[in-house]
Amino acid sequence: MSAPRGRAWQGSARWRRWLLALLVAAQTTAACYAMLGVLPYHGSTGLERAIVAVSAILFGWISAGFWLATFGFVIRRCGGDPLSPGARFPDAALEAVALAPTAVVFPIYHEDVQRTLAGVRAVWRDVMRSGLGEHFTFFVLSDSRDPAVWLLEREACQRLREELGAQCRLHYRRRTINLNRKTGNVADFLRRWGRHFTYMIVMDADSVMQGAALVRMVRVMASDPKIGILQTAPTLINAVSAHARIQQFATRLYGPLFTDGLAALQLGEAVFWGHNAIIRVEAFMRHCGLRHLRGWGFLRGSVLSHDFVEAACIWRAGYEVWLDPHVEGSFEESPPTLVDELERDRRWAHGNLQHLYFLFRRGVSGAHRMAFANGIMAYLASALWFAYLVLITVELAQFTLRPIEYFPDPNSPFPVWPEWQPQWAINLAVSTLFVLFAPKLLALIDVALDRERRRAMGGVGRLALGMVLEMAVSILLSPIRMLSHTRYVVVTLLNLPVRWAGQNRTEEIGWAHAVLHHAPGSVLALGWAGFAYWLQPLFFYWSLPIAVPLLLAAPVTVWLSRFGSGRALRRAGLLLTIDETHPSAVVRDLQQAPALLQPSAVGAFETAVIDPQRNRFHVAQARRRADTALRRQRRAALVARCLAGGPAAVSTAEQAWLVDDGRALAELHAAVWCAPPDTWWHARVAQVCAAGQ
Amino acid sequence: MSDPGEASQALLTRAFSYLRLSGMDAAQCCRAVEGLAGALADTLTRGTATEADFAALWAAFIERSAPVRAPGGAEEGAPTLPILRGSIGYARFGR
Repeated sequence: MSAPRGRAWQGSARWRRWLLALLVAAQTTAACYAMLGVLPYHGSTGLERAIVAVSAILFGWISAGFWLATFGFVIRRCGGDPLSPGARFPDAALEAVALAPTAVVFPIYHEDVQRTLAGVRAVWRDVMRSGLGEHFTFFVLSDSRDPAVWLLEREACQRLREELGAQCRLHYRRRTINLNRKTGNVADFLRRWGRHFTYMIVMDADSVMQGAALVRMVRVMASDPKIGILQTAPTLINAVSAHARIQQFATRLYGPLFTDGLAALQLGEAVFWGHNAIIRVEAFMRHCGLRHLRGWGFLRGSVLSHDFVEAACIWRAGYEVWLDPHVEGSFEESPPTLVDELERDRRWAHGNLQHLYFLFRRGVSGAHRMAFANGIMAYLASALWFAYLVLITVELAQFTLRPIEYFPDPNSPFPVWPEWQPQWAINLAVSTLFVLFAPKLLALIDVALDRERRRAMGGVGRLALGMVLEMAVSILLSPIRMLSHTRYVVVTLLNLPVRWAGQNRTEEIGWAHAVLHHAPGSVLALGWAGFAYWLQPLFFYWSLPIAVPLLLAAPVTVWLSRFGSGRALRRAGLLLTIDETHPSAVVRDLQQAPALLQPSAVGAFETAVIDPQRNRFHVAQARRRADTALRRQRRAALVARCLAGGPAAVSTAEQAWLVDDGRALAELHAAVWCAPPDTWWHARVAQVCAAGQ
Repeated sequence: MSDPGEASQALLTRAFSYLRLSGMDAAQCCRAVEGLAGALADTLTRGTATEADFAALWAAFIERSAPVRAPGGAEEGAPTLPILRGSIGYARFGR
């Protein structure tokens, strides 16, 4: 099979993309012309040419966003895109389509167990409410390494199975060898069980989807066998902190314009975002395995951001990838704090920059090349903005400190008189602000024209207030994000290691953490603003919109991370979303999920050793292995060490080995209940007994 | 062995706690511990009980009351899906 050809949408895709390219090019050219007018030597020096080049890329980047949102606005106001899956497959036409076996997979790695399983529970219950639950099988695919986490995952899954009853098809699988991160985790699942299923719906640890959405996705896939991946546009829910609520509000308010615009532009060459999407299993298994990259530096090793690459692979194999923003009931959560968001961006930056490897490879479609470039620019734009500030500072320093150069071009006999054109500078600044903020105004108009959405989000007045607050916070956070992303780009280019850990989804940020995290940026901002003041007071005022947010980064981060701040905004009726005011059943289920595990002062490993029920459960879960002499020898040594010194005497990996072995866990259990009175285990058993009474 | 009375009490208390943690209700626990107390009384009647006697009583009690499963024995109620092996095709990208 080769890349899709001759489909009706391809002609429309071509002219829409050309139109976007023309509009962006025209707007960027005008901005470059204005920039040349603003610079004192009008682009005659190398430094000024560099400034114009960087400005052109940055302006082109924001211009593309502006036109994308404008496309989205026009499409929404015209009743939607007739080529979208939502329009091609109306619900009524899909009702007769039979469902095929579908796996719903939750790949997890050191996540909050209660939250993850509450999500699984909510989706399962909603699927059952749809009356078509028998077609879906759920899998929790754990890559967690620390037994303190995966023992709880295993127990919570068992509790959930007990709660949901005999009909519940929920499987828990933990990989003992964690090769290739999330791609390896999903590939391992597919190798073992993939052939049982026609489709696979991939979820994230914080993903939730309505049962009706899952059913609709399966039916769309069944109706068009050319679709390899169908991606939904998840909206953010469950935000509590001010930071998360602002992100949630922004995605609900502005998201539809951008996703509708993007979907209309990409059509059947959309990308996979890694979760809240359905995949045709056979095609995916046959064509989307990802080898280790064989480039140099950061372009070597496993593919971190695998989703875009998988979309490119499946398209190349002859299947289409669609983004369907109109599948209702697709949700995810936002990191609660700026620091957590930046930590996540650190990994994403590395993953997206790795796409440079694929950018110019053969067999990648033009749309997917653009998607790769877009992902790279999401982080590279920050580095370019930083470079722009450096270049502007150098330009101004040269202009102020050096004597005026009337012949900047050594090959030209004509003198150049440097001149400032404040009117051009003001025009350029206003145009840039317009390009940045007009999509937000369009989004506000779009909601204002939709009575149901407008009311659900608190009415036009509150929406406008929320938007002003979001814009203020966005202005405050932009320089902080810019500096962090610049650092990530540099760190990635230097190929420093990435920590691939589970995300914090539930905690606030303390003052000490925030101050330490933002100290380098604040010091840099102070130095830069001081230099600007010394150089030219006007430049100092120009630097303030960037320097002040960096100086205020710590208090802003702390305030935004506070759950109290978020709740206060909620009480004031600000930043409301439809999922807060009219939550669907699946969201209510998620919020009201009972605790699957009781908090315990005794660690998960100790509990697995001491507690008879849990010990029996974990022993039964252990793989049946040949009891070789080597294994017996290792078991005897580890059990003896663990009995003598408690769990601290063995490493985390050794604890995992003891539990995985099964026999070792049973031996430990028998021994600790007979431990002599003055030992660590005896005291722990007594504590567990006291708690059990 | 220190005081046989103290050791016997500790054994019975431990047995009760163990069964409670195993999920038995209090009445069932009492009945099971009653059996252990009888066996203990027999042992003590025969003479002074050693540590080995206590260990043997405990092992027999555990085996009778809540045997530990063998590794690999599937837990009741846990769904199992047979493995159906498939292979993954790896993508190649030319220069």
